[in-house]
Amino acid sequence: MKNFSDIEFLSEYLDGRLTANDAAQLELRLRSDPELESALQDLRAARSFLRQLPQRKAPRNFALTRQMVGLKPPLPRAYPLFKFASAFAAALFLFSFAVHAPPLSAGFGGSAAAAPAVAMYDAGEAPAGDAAFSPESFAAPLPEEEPTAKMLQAPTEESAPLEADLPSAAPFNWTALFFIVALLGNGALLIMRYSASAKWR
Amino acid sequence: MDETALIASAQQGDLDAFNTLVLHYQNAVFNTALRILGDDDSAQDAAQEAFISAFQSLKSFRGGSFKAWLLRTTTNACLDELRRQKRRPVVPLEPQTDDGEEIDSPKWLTDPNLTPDQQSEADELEHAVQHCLDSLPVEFRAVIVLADVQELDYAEVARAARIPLGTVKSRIARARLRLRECLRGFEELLPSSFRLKEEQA
Repeated sequence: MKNFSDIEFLSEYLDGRLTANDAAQLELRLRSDPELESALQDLRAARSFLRQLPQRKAPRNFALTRQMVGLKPPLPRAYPLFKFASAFAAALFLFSFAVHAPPLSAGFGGSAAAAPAVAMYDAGEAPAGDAAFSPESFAAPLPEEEPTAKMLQAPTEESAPLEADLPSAAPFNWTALFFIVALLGNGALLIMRYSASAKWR
Repeated sequence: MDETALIASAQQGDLDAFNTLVLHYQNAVFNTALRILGDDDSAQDAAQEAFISAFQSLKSFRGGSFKAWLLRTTTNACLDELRRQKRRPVVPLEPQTDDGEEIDSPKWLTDPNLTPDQQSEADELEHAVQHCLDSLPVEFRAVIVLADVQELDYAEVARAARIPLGTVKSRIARARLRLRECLRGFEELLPSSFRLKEEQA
């Protein structure tokens, strides 16, 4: 067995990596050293086996799809503008809705009825224990029935001045406009995305 | 095929141009992966990963041998695959006939120009060489596959494996030596035409 520097030298010789001078010197040694010659034949055989390995045909096509590499279809130039306009209209809609929407309590007419109820709980006059939840209690008429019925009736003289204080209906409903613009904008964005990906198919 | 123009287009994100390169190099990439990994399914996965990775990092290609650059990506994909297999070892599924029997040499792998006897000899040689390749440490295996199966020159192997030229020389010599020693164990099994077959220098 030759030392490893000889083996490395032989391997380079086999690949034609030695200078003409080094190759000539090695060939001289090879003629006089059968062990070195045998080592060269071993390396040559190993290389030969590898080079004789069949080159297989790729069993399938490795061409890439856009999905594989995460490419997105090119969107129209107007897309960012539409996106900004839609987002802006949606923000305006939310702001306008928050400002112009009637208070929740007024909407349900609960302020007047709720106040006494809260006061009753505060004063410890809550319906007494089990009795409040007994089956009979569901059948019995509610104590607040009268005031509730009153509220459902036509506005009384007492409530008329309150309504007069409310601002009159706006001549133009901006909230609805912002809502429609936001809706249309998002619809346009969807169509743009769909048509862009349809072009790629 | 104007490779430089295709690479330039692919670097601008042209997937069709890149796929032309894929079709040209897919056999080399698949064979490199197959010889490093020794398993057809893993080789297909690694080849696909290599092409995806190559497309995504194509801007880092600064000229030189595109094949060497692509095979570097392939080697990296193979090393990733080996690491993955080490973490989650799996039993490879051999292709089977309708009766559930394993097929040693699937039809698509066979060379139609060989007689059945020659095909059998070629299969035996291939199994023996692949077995010996698999027994090499992976860093030696990658270098010898690039140098002797893909026939890259030493500088290209150094670039592809990202190791100094001196290390390439030494790994090639060691790998050839170990392969020859390993193949001695198979000499009785190998067809006579392959025993100590020597290349004409």
